Amino acid sequence: MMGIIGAFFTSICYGLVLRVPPSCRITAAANGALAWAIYLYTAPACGLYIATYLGGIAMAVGMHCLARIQKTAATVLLLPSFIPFVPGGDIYRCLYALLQDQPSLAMHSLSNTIAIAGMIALGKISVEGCIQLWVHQHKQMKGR
Amino acid sequence: MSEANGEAKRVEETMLYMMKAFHFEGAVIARCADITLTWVDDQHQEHVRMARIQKHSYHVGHIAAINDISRRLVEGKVTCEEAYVFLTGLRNEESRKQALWQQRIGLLFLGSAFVFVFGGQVFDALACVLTGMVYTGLWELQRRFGSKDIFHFLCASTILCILVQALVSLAHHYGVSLHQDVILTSSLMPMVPGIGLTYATMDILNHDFLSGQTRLMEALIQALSIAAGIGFGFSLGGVWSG
Repeated sequence: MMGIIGAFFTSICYGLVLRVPPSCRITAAANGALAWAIYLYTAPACGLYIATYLGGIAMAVGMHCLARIQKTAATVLLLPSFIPFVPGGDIYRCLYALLQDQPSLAMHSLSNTIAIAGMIALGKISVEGCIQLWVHQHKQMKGR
Repeated sequence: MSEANGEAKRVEETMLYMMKAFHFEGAVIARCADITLTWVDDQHQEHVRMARIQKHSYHVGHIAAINDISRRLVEGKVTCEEAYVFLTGLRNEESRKQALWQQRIGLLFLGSAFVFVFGGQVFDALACVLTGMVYTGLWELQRRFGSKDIFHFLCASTILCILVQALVSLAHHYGVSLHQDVILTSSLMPMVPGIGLTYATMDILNHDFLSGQTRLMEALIQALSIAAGIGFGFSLGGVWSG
């Protein structure tokens, strides 16, 4: 539970740093916390990468819904939402392992970093792909 | 929008929407460092305009404002002149001052919030408020004197690394147990290029390889300067404690 509250406040603080408009701060943080909760609950069963992918999907779905409701750019909600997921900790561990002359540990952290960043991006792109497909289908149905 | 680190794809889309609203045919290439625009006027003459993006930093407020004005322009709710006045007004001093205060507060508590994401305790979060204060001061110095980003990251990570080691030793002396790894990782989070790396991956997966590569290189250099800072910090901290 503390992790989810932490994720919420992380998104709020990062929203302030990135100068997110006040009307979007709480909603973006709630979206980030919800996605983080999905990640936390699915990680023990699915593993780190699939849980990150599922969290990324949840975040992207929430982001697109909120962007349409609040009539704002999706990027505005995206950046504060995904901040709890960014692999900053893994980047640090990779650098630390390099400094400690432990190349295999550094490689492990580096591959984790790349995989997590990739999974977040893949989650977002999967949702955008589905939305594009749905819009295309909808237009075709209207055309008939 | 490019200066505010908006996605290259979004920059292109926004420009094309606005051009379409005024019945201009054209093409845009937006990258991290430049934008190239071509269009055809009423007399069927072709024009090319290129803009160099000298400096960019994340500013989601600007992305939201530009998105809003482009939407209103396309819907015909504002004229081209009104949109221009609004866009040039984005850099006004009053809104910048207000945003600065918000940024300072955000930087102050960001590390403490990360402590709970990384599974730390309340005492770790309190220690992070202290490191947050120091980092906010360093950020302010960089903003005022305009030093190079790499130099800022190197100095800030060195100072934070030494400070965290000192705090953990001091707390240990008084019988309080702190998690050095959690505090240091959380304190460095405002600098670590996690967003840059994720954005680079998004650009690459969107087949925008040039922007992706540029962001990736930027993130790598940032990470290396932080690594060097941590290395210095641990060496100096080791010398200090004997």
